[in-house]
Amino acid sequence: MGDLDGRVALVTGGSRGIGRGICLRLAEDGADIAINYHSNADAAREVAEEVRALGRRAETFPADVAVEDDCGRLAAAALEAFGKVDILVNNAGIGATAVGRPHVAEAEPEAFYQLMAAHAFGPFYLSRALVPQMREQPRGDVVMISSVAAQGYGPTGGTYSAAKSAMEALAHTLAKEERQHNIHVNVVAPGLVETDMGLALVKFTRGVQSMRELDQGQPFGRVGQPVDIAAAVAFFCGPRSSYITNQRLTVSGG
Amino acid sequence: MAIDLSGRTAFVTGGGRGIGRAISLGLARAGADVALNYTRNADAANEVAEEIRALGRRAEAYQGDIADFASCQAMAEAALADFGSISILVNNGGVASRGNTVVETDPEEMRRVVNTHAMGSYHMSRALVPQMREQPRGDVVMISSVAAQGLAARGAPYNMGKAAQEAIAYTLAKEERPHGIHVNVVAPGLVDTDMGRRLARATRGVADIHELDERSPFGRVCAPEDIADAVVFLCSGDAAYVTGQRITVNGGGF
Repeated sequence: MGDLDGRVALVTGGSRGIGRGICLRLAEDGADIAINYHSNADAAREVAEEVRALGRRAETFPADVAVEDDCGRLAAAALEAFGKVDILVNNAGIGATAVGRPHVAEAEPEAFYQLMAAHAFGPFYLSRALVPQMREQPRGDVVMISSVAAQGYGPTGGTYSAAKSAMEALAHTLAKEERQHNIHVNVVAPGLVETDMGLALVKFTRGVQSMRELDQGQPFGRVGQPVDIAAAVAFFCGPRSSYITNQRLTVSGG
Repeated sequence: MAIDLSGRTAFVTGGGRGIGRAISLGLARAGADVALNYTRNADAANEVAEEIRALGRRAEAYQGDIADFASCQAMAEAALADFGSISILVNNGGVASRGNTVVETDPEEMRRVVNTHAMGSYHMSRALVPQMREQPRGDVVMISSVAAQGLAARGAPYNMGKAAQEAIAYTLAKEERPHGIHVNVVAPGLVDTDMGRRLARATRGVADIHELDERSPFGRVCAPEDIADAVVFLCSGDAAYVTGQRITVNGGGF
C-alpha cells in the first residue's frame, strides 16, 4: 500500500530533470501519472515506461504550459485518459540562463513575458482547468515548484525571480480559496539541482563544466538531486501533511 | 515509501503529554527508540514509555527542568548511558504565558517562559549535539509556534521565547551542517492538547475546543499527530537535503 494509491498526478515538464524525479517518486508512492512535456517526446515516453515498470499507469501529453489553449487541451486530455486529476504539480519552467540572465534594466520584454507565461500564467491556467474537478475528490493537491530565486533576488535573475514570486503569490492565494474543499496548495523551492537546467546555470554563473566540481562546496557535500525535490512533493501530497497547506519548503541544503 | 527511523534514538523534551507525546509515539512508530523528558508528570511520561515499548521500541523517561543547564546535562548523560547515542533531539517542552501585557508582565514570569523555550532548546542542543556529530546523521527539531511570527498582544514572554528559539535553530543549522546535522522548525497553531484547550477557553471563549472544529481549517482543530507527522518527515531520508527550514502546521492559517 502506497501513500498515494488511487490518486492521479499531472506533472508539467515531467519528462526531464526535477519533473522526471517527481513522476517516479509519486508513482513509487502509488499514484498514476499524466506526464506533460514540451518538446522531448522520447524522454517523456521513457519516463512513462519507468512509471509503468513500477506498476502504475502513465500517459504522455505534449503542451506548452505558457499557452492558455495548450493548458486547456492538456487538462482535458488528462481527464479523458484518467477520469480525474487530484494532484497537480506545476514544475515546467524555463531557466533564467535560457533568456541570457540580463540585468532588469537590460531585459528584453519578450523574454520576461516568456518567463512569466511559463511560471505564473501556466500554473494559473492549469489550476483554473483542474481545481474545479478536484473539489469533488476526497483530497486535492497543487504543488508549485518554485525556486530559492523567489526570495533570493540575485542580480541578473530579476525577471526569473519575478516570475517565480508571482507563481508563489498564486499558490498562497489559491491555498486560502480552496481549503474548504480539502485542496492543499504548497510550494517547494529548490536551490541548485543536478539537472540539465542546473548544469547550464552553473556553467554560466560559476564557470564549471561538471556538477562534481561543486559537490565539495555544497551543503552536505553534494549538489541537490531531483529525488530530494520529489521527496518534498511526496510529503506535501501525502497523509503526513493532511493539516498542512499554504506552506513553502526550501530544499537547498539550507 | 515508508519512513524508516530504525536504529536511531530520539530525545523528546516534554514528551509525556500533548504534542510531545504524539511526537514520541510518531517517532517510535517510524522505528526510533525514544528517551523522553518530563518535568512533573511522571505517570504520564511512564505511560508513553509503556506505549512505545508495546510498539517494540525502547523507551525511558527522564525527569528534569530544561530551563536549568545542569539538569539538561544530567538528563543527557543518563540518556546516553542508557541508549549509547542520541541522533534526534526534539525541543518540544514549553510553558504558556499568562496573558498579560508587556507592562504588566512579572519579570519572574518573563524569565521562566523565555528560559524554558529558548534557553531550554540551547541547553539540550549544547548537551547532545557534540555526540551527534559522530553519527551518520543528526536532527534537531524545534517545536515553535505561529506566535513567533504572529506576535500577538498579551503574549510577550511566549512570543519572545519562541522567536529566540527559532533564531537558535537557524544559526545552529548553519553551524552544524558540515557534520550532517539537520536543524528545522515546526510551528503549530492551535492544537488539541491541555495547553491548547486552556488557550481556547481563555482566548476564544469556548468550553470545548471542538466547538471550534467547524470554523477551523479542514473542518477540525489540529491534532497532536499532525505535528508529529511533520517532525517524522523532517528527521527522515525524505528530508535529507532540507535544513534551516520552518514548516507551519496550522491548516494554512485563519
